[in-house]
Amino acid sequence: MVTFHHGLSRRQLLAAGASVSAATIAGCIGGNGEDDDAEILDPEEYDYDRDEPDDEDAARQSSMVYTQELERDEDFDPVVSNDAYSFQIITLVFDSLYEFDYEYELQPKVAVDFPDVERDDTRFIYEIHDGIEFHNGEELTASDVAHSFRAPVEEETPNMSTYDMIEEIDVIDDYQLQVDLAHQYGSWELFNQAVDIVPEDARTEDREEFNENPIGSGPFEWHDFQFGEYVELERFDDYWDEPQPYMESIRFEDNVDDASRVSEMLAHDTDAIGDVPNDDWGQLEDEDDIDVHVTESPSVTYIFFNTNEGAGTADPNVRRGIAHAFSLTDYVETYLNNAAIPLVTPTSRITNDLWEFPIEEWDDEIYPEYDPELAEELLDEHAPDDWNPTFMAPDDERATLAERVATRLDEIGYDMEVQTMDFGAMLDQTIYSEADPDNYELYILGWTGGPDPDQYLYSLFHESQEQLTNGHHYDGSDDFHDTIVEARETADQAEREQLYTELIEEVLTELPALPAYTEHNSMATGDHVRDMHVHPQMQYNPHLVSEESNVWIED
Amino acid sequence: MGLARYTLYRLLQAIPVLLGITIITFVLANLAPGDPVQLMLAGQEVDEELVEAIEQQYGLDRPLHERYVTYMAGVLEGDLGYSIHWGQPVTELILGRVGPTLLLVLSAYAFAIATAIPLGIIAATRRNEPTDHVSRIVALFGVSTPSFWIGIMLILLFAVQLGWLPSTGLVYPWRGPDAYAWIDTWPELLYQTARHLLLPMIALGTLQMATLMRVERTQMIESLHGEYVTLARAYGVPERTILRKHAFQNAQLPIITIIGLNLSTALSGAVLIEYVFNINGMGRLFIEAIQALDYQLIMGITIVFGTIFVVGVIVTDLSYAYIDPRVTYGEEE
Amino acid sequence: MAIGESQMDDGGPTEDVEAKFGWRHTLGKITDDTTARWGLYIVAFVLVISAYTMVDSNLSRLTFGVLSDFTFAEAIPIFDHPERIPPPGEGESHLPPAFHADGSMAHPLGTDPTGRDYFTRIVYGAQVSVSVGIASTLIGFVGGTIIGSVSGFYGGKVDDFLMRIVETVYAIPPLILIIVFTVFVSGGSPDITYAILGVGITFIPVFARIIRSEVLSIREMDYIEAARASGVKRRNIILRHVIPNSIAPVLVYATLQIGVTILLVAGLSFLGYGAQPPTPDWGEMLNVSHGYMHANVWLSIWPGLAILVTIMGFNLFGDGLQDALDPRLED
Repeated sequence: MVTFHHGLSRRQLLAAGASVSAATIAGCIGGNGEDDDAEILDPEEYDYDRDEPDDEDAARQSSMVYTQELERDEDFDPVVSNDAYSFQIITLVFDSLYEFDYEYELQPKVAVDFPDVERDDTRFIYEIHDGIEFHNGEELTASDVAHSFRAPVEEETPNMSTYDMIEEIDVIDDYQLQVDLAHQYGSWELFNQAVDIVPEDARTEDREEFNENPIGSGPFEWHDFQFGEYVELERFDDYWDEPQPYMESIRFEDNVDDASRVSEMLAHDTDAIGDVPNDDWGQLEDEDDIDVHVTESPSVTYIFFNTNEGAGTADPNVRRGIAHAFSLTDYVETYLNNAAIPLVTPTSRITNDLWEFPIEEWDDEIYPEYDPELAEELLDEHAPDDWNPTFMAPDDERATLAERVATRLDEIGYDMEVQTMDFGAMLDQTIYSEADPDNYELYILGWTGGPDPDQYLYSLFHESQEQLTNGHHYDGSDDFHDTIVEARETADQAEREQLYTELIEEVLTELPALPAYTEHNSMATGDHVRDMHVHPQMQYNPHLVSEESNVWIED
Repeated sequence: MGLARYTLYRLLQAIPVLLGITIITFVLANLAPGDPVQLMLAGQEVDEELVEAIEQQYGLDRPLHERYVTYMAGVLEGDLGYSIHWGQPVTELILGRVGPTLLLVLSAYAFAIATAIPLGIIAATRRNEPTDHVSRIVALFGVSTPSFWIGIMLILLFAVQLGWLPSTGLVYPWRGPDAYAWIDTWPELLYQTARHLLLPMIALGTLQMATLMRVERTQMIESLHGEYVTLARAYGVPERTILRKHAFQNAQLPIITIIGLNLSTALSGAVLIEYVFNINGMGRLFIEAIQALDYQLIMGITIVFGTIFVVGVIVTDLSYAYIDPRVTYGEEE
Repeated sequence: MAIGESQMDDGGPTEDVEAKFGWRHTLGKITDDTTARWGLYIVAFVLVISAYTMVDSNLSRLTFGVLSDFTFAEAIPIFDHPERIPPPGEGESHLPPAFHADGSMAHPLGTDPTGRDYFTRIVYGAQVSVSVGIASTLIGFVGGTIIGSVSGFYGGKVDDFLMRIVETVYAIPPLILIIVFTVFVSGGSPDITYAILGVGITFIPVFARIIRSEVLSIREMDYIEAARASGVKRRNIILRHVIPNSIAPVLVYATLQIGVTILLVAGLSFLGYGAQPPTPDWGEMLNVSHGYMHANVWLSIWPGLAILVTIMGFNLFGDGLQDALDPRLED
């Protein structure tokens, strides 16, 4: 019998998009009648101060239930797992070599410091802390780190592409190792080196068992697990690092239905829920005993255009015409004011902040503004006769945006059909399809990237990713695709920034995709949950213990 | 025919129906437009080897009837196939989910029977009095209101507004108190089970209650007008005895049949109620399977749902025969 | 014998209708009965609304093309366009109903998340719910009549075979069967047409059984025997004598069944396998508004009430019809 490896199931790809759709399925729309001028929420206003318990001993007996917003794939081996919701548990059970801080920059964790870089930016030498123990009592050594880097490639897991540029790993001694890359790799130090460390012996003994009963060196250890229902973790009392967590145990459940999840929070059936739906924001915030938390995330939602021959949208003028026809700002203000912020770049705001791209210039000069007259002019001149495009959207609030675009086009005399369907079905019809213009000319989809522009541009625009993660089939200028590869295989930051500026400007000018908005990571907790801060990296939530927070429950 | 033989006869009779269920499900799933392999693999790099492997495993290169035979051979051994979406055997998945659904449906029935029968009798004995009118109106609302809407309203009122009862999920008594970190003792466990069950039970049970109440009332009125009862009255048998001994017993038989047949409505309703209350039963599993177009899981769940219905009807038919010895077992036509 | 054969005895149609049967008589009795009369009013009201909105949307479609942005109903001040999303700046989303302090008489039931008038959508929703209810009941009725009468009239192996099929279809819980049917037959993109078909087919067994038991009783009657003896073709006997004489109780049942169907289709749309947005359909509206049950509870209340009242109308009317045809329960 063929066993279908988890990595090959559609769920994985769903999950890749799901971290996006999670916030999105939330759906939700628009301020309520009372405050219709609802302003777009500024996540910075929700940067709460640190909090310390008065009674540390009482705090150490804390336990909580956390309700996740999507189902986990139930893959808990970080080598194999590729789903954000399993990873929310993995990050508590495992320590990684480096971890993201709240600014989305990597800080050493198991590594003592940043690596020594040699051989023209392709050799990295790491030193790790000694005396770290896995939950089974074995010591964590450099060869475990080496295994954690190698295994995804050797076993061809879904995480393979994160490490397949590694050429060779030398374990120097128990606490040092050297990683050689085949070529320069721009995002290595920004992203890829943050590997979760698995115990080689325990894992290779029985991989299936390890996936369901993982052993890490993190602050929490595996306690109880019921497939498809819950996971319970308990504090690992011999944890090596400071601070030691206050939380004694945590139970993860899930509730994919937004309304029902909010009900749970309002009824206090749970201590915390992931992802606050846009329209329930006000009500949850108004409750005295509920706190809401929000921070920006590296996710971007785009409207993509089919540029294949035969599509009206193969003509950049038509794409621009559509982009001018409706107001994204207005849409976000009306429907997503608590959940998202409009965006003018194909990279997220977090990425832009780290890279200092000329956002304002792009916004003023390149990004298409709402201008129905210009839209009409462009479309009248360039749209084919009998142009009758189809816009595909998942059946959540993104469908509302699609309908809105269709309405605006209708007003200037163009018929557009909006087709909405399940997220999975939509992926089948769009990015996994042959991109037949008769099937769709536009689709809307979100993507969660990271600190590096490559995490957006390569997956969403490079030709090698067609029918995997993108379905616009954009050919681009002569060296567009080569530049994407060049930028990813360059280590020099200034040089990369220049290349990405060029690439982004081309995307914004030619518009194979129109960046629309970036969604937030959010959470609601009972006010007895203290010192909770939501992390921009969705897999890090709930962020129970770090240098920057240590959650406990106040009775 | 004795009861034992009748039981055997009914079981044998169920075989073609069960076979039929598998055929319908199989044909629907396999004659659908679109290449099942493509649908299964949607969302993946198209890997020729994998496609072939799947085609071979499912025998998609063979004609439909051969595939059916292979599939049935598995089903008879309790192997309902493999869920691609979950990466688990279908049988295992369903076994993990059938408990909550049965708990929900049975408690909804308990609620429906416990309320419908007394109300129906009262309505029948006080025909055209205010009590009758009120209970008829209740029944009318019951058969006219979508169960899932009742569920939403109950959640808003009792869980969110008043905070009396939990809004989602169930607590399973069979897991024992140890499975729940926040529950220590058995009585506490049962109390929590009841608290969690109350709202979904009412939401799902209301339609059943209303249906049963209408039938109960009609049957009681009929049997109160029956010759037998008239005769008993003429002999001066006290009204209470008449009610209890004669009218009531006769009226219950059709109720039992209705309970069995309404299982199909109740199971349909369970899908909606599990969705609204976020209960991890077969209904939600079914919706998830449909969303993922997980062929074998969908077939497996459909077959199990059909089987539950068939078994339920047999059980009610047998209890019917057991309660009323006058029933002639056998060909009734 | 079939699974649960005795279901037909649930106070349902009986055979002794000959003396009191007659449409005028029936209608007279219904208008005498207060509750049945209310049922009739509700059904008539819903039907008129559905007919009007159906004509209106089709007229506007014919006049202005497929994606019409104008409906004639808009000329009446209380109506808005049922599907069109108001342009930016216009239309306020989540407006509460008129009786609420923040409400407005322009939108008696408030507005939905996209700022559309909810009253218009509720009114137009009748069209979908009712036509789906009637269309799928009709499929079940016609299919059931054919299978049931053939089965009952021919008896023997034909009967056995058809009844096994009927039992099998009956054994799969309807919502499950319909969703499986809709999703597979539509190739993963369900819409209301498949839902109608699915619901109709699912209900064939119910009708088939009633017709069959009617036919069984009529088959033995003298005039059928006579017709058979005088060499009238079997097909003609079925068409001219058997069906017309067994149809009355089935019509009653069909009326009650419309209610059941609307309930089922509401559930189907609620789960997303019936009508698709932006079509105004009560079940679909409940699906969308479920996401706003905390933010705006009115969005969930109105479609639920609309379903309740409509089904109640069909039930009251059906009950009245049944009482009128069934002398047993009279005092």
